[in-house]
Amino acid sequence: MKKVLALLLLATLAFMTITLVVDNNLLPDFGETKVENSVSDTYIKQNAMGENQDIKFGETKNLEIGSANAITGIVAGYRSFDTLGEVTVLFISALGVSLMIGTTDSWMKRSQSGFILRVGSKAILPILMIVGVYIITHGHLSPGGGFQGGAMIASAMLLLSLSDHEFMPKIKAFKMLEGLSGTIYILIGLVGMILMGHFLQNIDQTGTIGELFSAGLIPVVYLFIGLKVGSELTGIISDFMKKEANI
Amino acid sequence: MKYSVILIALPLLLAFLSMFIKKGKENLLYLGMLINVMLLFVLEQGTYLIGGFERPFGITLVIDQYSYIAVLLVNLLFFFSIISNYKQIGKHSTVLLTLLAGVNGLVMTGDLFNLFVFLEITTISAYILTTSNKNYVGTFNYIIVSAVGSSLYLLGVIMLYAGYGTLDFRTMTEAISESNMSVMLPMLFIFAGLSVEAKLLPFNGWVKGVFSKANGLVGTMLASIIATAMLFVMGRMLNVLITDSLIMDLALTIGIITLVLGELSAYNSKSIKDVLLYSSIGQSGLVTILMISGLIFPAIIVIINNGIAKLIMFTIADEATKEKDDFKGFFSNHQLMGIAFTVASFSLIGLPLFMGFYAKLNSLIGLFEMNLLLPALLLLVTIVEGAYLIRLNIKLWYLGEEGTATTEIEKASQKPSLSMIVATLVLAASLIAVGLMPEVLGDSITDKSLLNEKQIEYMTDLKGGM
Amino acid sequence: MINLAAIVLMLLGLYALLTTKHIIKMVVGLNVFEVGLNLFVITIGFNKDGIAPILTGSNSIKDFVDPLPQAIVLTAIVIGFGITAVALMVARKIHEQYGTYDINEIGGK
Repeated sequence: MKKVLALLLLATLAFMTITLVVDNNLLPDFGETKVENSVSDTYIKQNAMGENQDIKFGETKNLEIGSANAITGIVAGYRSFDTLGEVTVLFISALGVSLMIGTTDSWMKRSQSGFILRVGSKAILPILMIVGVYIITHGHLSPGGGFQGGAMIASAMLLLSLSDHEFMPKIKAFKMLEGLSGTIYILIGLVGMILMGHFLQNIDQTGTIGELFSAGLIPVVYLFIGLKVGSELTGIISDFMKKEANI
Repeated sequence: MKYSVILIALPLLLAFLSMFIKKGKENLLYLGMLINVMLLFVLEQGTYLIGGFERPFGITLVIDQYSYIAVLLVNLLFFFSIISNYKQIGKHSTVLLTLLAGVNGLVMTGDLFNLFVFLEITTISAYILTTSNKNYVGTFNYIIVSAVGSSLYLLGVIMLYAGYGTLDFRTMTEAISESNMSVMLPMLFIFAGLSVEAKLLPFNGWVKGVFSKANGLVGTMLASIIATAMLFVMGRMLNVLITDSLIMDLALTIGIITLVLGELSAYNSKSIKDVLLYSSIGQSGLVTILMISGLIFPAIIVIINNGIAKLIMFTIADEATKEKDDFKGFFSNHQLMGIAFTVASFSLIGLPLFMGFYAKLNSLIGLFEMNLLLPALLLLVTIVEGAYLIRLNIKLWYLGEEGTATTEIEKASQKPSLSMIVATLVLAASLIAVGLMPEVLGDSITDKSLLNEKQIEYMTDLKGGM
Repeated sequence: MINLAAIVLMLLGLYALLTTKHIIKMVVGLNVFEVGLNLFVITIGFNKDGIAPILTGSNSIKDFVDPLPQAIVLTAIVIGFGITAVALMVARKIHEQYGTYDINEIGGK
């Protein structure tokens, strides 16, 4: 009976949503989106503060964001405040998970890891770490950024903990790293407010678009986001490997 | 002070800093809370651009008349909730700091997607607070329902973005009023998504599992602070963004059903916390009805009255049921708390001399000018509300025949903290003070002939400031 | 029409949430729902002739697809991850308390 009701409800929802998507003038047809009609046009042309010349890769200097990757320009530039909220969400989730598991030092028993895993992880680990750091530092130039690179670093930690059972209990510094990167993110925002008048405003020249040292504070912000995400994901993984305190 | 962003950034900064210290984290919470309350005195109205990007390109924080009241109320309620329940903070001081940032962001932000982010910060903090109930099934239901709700909200927002190419609240409102595209479905999704947190039917299945075992801190945070913030957000949505007449009718119907069913369930409940939680649901319904009818000022007074009264009542209800479930005659030993509780319940009913009287009076006057059915309904509901709240008060004051007076030793063991008594009495006094001098709320309340005119002015202010 | 597929995916997730009695499966249903939503958001910005909105030496900003939905999805994914982590830990606590993941059995106890 409950299934029939659920199906009826979903059929109604499906009918309404699909009608909206297929023949309504609110949503554009699939694949026909016009960027010119939205604020994204400004984000791409980087002219929110005023008109500027055509953007040429490796030549145009001191744009208002200066990031070659338009998505990074939005995530860490125009809508940086959302990103601050986003890292806060991750921060509270990691904190909540560790509060629920409690302070315990007993870990779940796992079977001995195999030879291939132990040796293979040592070979893969440096590559994973380097690619993670590369993705973080080149977030404003190529696909990727702090979140993706941070997840990669956390996956390297997961691999280590799978191969070496003594690894997870050893790491204690990650909580500090979490707090530190979050603090620095907000301090960057406050410095922007004190020097330039607006929270999270860029205080630096943004340099030439396409170069590694460009886009003002975005690489700095992304580096700390990467560290924060990496340490938080690692924290969540290690909390899930713990045993409950009261057993 | 035009830097309204500090109200959000400072609690977040302190939350991150609290990872460095092992002991005394609650001192950071007190610090953040105190600075926030002090900042309220220098807070100025205006729009703050984050990152320096003009609307609609950047995110804005808006302090207009409406959100000014909201920010003031939310921060003060948070302050009183913490000082009256400081014993129950435990390990949750960091989560409370993020919650403070979240509710401040909710009422201030002028961006639809940023609202989603703050909604998530607030709700995830709330999930973690509710785990202290040890009722994990209730928490799990809460997580699932509110995660689906906020996803529906995001779906609605992104559909609007596809049509109008902006996420800014004010730009979006202007674009919608200029175009004639059908925005029925996105509006439905946005309304449904926000209804989950605003505790409207049929999205409030999570409420009982979370509230019925909540301690004073969690109860006040959810019923008073988050509820206040969400009702302010809901009011803004219903008055400014949601203009589709079908959705308005639907929301009005939902508001009426929520009000009636909430108050009737409260009447049928035995446990003191159940009575309070169903009463909260009923009040959400009332605020929704008033907001849809465009009666913003009465709605705001109802929110303020409900927020203060629920804070007092949840705090004392937890104290009364802490030792044993039988709360009969609790106030015969704790007269001061009893007085605060009784004042709060009388104000909630809307008896004269209390703030609630002006809330109910203004709602009635406003509703009378629209039709006769709604005021009649409101009067009937008030009678039901009065019946169960007075019944509850009688139970709490009189021991009855089978009840036994607590011994001196028991009395000493359940001695409530001084700050709790002081805080609840101050809040109760404020309810009476506003009841005696309603002009502090604004002229439009006493001068009934000006009500409509003022309201139109208020609405334009609201839209202009957004 | 990938956007319709995304909506179907969302509805599948909702169906799972409404009908299943298993707590872990409810978390999975929630995730399917969120993935469907994220996919839908991405399709909002899609353009047939568009390219990824990253400037390199060999393209021009005129061909970019809409980058804002992609930025929004990045935020939504991270938030979804956070909720999933908390939900899974609560599920573990429920298992610790009741010894089962089945809602019906928990209700009986």
